Amino acid sequence: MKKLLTTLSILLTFSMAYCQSEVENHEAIDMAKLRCTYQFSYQMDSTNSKRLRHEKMVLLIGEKCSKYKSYNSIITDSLIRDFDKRGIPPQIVVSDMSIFPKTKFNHQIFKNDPKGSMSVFDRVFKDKFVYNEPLDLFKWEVSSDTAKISGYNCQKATTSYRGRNYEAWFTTEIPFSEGPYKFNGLPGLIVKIADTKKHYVFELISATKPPVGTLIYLPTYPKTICSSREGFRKAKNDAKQDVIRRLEDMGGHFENPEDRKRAKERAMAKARRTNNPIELM
Amino acid sequence: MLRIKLYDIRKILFKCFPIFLLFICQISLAENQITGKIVSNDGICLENIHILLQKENSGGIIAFGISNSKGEYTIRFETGRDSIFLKTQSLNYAVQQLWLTNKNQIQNFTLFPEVKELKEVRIKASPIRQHGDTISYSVGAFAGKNDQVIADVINKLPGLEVESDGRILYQGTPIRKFYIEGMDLLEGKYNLANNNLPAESVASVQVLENHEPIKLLRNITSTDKASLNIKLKRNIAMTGKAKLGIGASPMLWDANITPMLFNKKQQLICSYQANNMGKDVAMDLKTFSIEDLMDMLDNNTEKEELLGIQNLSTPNFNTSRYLNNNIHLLSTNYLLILNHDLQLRVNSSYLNDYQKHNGGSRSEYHLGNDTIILQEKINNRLTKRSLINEFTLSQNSDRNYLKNTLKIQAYWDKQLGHVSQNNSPIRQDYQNPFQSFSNKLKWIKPLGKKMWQLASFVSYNKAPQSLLVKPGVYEDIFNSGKSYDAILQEANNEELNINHSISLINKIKRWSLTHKIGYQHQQKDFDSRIYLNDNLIETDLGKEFQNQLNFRKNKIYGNESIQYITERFKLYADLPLSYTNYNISDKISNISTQKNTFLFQPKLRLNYEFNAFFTWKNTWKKIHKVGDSRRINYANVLENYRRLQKQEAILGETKGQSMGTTLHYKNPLSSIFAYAGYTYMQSEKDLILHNQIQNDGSMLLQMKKNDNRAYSHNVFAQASKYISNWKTNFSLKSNYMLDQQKMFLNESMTPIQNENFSLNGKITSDVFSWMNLEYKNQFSWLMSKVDKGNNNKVKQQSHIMNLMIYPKDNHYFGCSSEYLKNEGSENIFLDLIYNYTLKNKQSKIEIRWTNIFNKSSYSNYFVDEYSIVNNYYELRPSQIQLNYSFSF
Repeated sequence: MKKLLTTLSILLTFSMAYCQSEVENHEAIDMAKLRCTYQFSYQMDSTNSKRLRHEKMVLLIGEKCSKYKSYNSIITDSLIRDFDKRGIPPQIVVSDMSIFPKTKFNHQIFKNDPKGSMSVFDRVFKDKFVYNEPLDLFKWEVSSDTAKISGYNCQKATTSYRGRNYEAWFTTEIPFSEGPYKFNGLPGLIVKIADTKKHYVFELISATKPPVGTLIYLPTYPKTICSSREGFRKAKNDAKQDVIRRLEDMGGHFENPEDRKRAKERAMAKARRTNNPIELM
Repeated sequence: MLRIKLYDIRKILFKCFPIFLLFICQISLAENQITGKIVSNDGICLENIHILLQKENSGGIIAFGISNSKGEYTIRFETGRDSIFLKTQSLNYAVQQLWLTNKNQIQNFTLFPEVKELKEVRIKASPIRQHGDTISYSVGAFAGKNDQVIADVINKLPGLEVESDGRILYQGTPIRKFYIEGMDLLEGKYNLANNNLPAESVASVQVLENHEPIKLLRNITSTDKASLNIKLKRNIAMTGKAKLGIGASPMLWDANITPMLFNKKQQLICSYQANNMGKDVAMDLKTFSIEDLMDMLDNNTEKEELLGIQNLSTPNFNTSRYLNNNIHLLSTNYLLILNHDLQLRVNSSYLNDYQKHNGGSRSEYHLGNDTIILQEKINNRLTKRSLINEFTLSQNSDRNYLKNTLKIQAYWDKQLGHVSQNNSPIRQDYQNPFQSFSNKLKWIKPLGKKMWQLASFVSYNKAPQSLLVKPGVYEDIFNSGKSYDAILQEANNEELNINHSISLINKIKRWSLTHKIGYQHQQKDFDSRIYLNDNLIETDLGKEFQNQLNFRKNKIYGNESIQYITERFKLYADLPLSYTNYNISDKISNISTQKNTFLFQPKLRLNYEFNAFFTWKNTWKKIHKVGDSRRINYANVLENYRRLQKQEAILGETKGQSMGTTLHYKNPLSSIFAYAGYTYMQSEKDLILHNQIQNDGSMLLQMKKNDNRAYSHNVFAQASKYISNWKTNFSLKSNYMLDQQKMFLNESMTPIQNENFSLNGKITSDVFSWMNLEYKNQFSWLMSKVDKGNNNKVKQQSHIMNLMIYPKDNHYFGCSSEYLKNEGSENIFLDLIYNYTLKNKQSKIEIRWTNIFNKSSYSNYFVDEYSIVNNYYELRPSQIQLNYSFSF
């Protein structure tokens, strides 16, 4: 069973990663001015504070818009491109898929593209989705607290979004109204933001100027499903509940009904554990 | 003026009359607003300029505005100050700042360009997240009283977690390798060690970040994955796991003892498993990796049966319901480090199994206007003994990746069969030993920027087998019509296979080309003789029943695989080209034939994705093959007691084509998934099976030259829908198949048509988190038509329901029922399972009551081109078993 799941996820990752390597399906929309890397810690299970996970997220800020994506998926893209160039046999690549770093977050967020909105790209299994949200999602309350964080003079601001209250620290030293995830609208870059329960924490660990000519690419895959935030959430939730059968749909097969049962139990236990999404409502 | 007065009044009131506080606050919090427009020095409206309102010219901001696309901004603020400081800020324009009085006002700005340097920072991540390091956790510091095995401790280490199935995650991603003292004995099956290695024998757990196990790839790729290494406290750690089960009736047992030994230079895991509960533990020995399965297609080392006893067709469900066995299995896995790059692994297993198969069949053969009915009662006793040794030497260095596997297999199998056919019993003694030796080598080497792969396979096997049938059969042929005591068929097959290939992959933009060339040699020597036994005198039936066949096949092949992939369009083409020379001769009958064939079997796959919802998949394949896998015997061979077969050296050629088209629809938004498709195959064989059924029911099979065509059509569709409110999935599947071909039945060419229609439904529901329900059904109709008349129809249906209940943690209750209905027979099964995991999670108790209705036999119908066969099979009786498993 595990083998089947691994194999399927491997094949999936590979095909997905493969698609991503095709620069033809991307459109350059802006020139990058600043590359910010955030250390992102999150707690998938609200009842277990030990299960903290970490990932690095990258925010690429351009003149007009910005792109937010996980560091690991950027690495996977470049690895695939590298394999492609070197002509390394896919048998070798597939036999050892673990060289590709995994990410829990397949989403990419483009702020101010289209103008005044943000586009959120995400996936449910193989299916690519995109939905738009207005840019001015956040009503910020600026407080008088100031602090020096990550080398910047920061000031505190608070907001609430989809069931969580956030405390953000922004700096006017970087004059972009930008931040990790969907967060934006402060008169300076968000250096640190966390919800009050500390379930989702973003901390800037580097802000560097990318090499001149670094472009911000928007994916333009023809097979992307345009949806709304609600539509995407429903699709994602359905898939989470129905995971085993969908694996079977994709060609997976369980030799033994007991294996299937066990796989299902495991999937359900996992669904129970991942009960703490960043957007609660 | 007014504001200043109010402010003063407020001060006084605040001190004197706190009651008025609320009123006063409302006045003081009256907002002021600054609006304005920002343009550049050449008159362009500027967007995204930050306008900061501060108390001082440095320090915190009170309020802010951001200019919109028209350059307009608005700042609303509240402050008690007389004057405020306003400042513009943006990346490309110079700062403008000014002091203002605190009032509603319009303030426009004209900004002048200025290139500013952004302040860069780089902060080192905390040491635990740092890459390129080996992090060592001392187990002593983390282990608690209740932690017995290493998995418990790993679960406590920061950054590491163990999932319910035993998978270990580091920073949320699965670890890549689980080494014990730097050795990889178990590959992916690290659970065995993780759940059994006592925590007290482990000194530390190391996390190796950025670890690339294939050294060859180390310079090429950078990896983010971590591996785990277990450092042992002592030089030797011995541990293990055991399971004991008993049951009734009859007396049942189930045992599993798995001791382990870990040491710095070598590792050992042994396992002894035995049961008579119908568990086919031999299945555990099989490996199912994709790589192995692919290899098996070309380079098979499976055991071969030359002859056979009359077998029973086994039911198509779990073996524990019908298998009457007594199995003992001993397996040993041993790993030894030779030097830094070189490892030797030995996996060996010894199996001893005794199986009883009881059942029978009733066969109706329709031959034009005749119908022959045959009834059989079958009791078979199978003895399986085998020893399989596998030696793997692997080199994993910077310049090479090499893996060589040497496999030696020996089987000492015996089968004893009793068939009672219309009350005349026939005894069959089949000795079917088999020995095989094979060597597989895979070598990957970089050459310039490309990767070359060399594969080599050599195998040799030997099968000296014999079949003794009592009393003698085929009296007309063997003993001029007189009955006699016994007949002995001896057969021996020796086979040598060699296959070498070299391949190179080339990628040019969207094209990927794989070039492969290879050479294959196959050599088969088949000898057989028949002896007649009558009145204790054994007579060699002579050259008429003797084969001494030599088969040689030499093949040179090349393959060009082409892939062209874009986002919507995927094309895969395989262009295999081969030249084969066959040389077949038989020394007894003095016949020799030669044949040269040149085969080209292009294969094409084309996928097109219209959009996110619709995909269209197409395949086309040219069929051109030589049927060289059939055995050739110029003289008759008694394959089983009722099949005497002679096959001449005709290497039949099949030509034709097959194609298929499928349309897939998936809508993840509404959770609907569906597909529908059609496949078609047309082939033309130059050989036809000459099938003669004798009066005594025995058969004579010969291949005759005769062109014949066969067609096959298949239409299928499936749809499923998930309803999220009910957490339930519904799915429906149907399939229709039509086969048309011709067969040689009783000296005449007969057209045969088979039709098959099936309908499957399935519901899976998880309405409650503590309960899980699954229901499946299948209806199928089989129709076969021989020579435009004579319709045979068989209807089948099955219903399966599984219910799983989790009333509390550590408790599990399962109920599964199955109802099967065939033409004229019904089968119903019910099983109950209760499972309790003891609190320390080291031991588990399971009670299992199977076949509650005590169904004694299973029967099914089988319909083929010219017959209906009703098979029945004796099942295991209703039984209760109690299992207890624990670690030591």
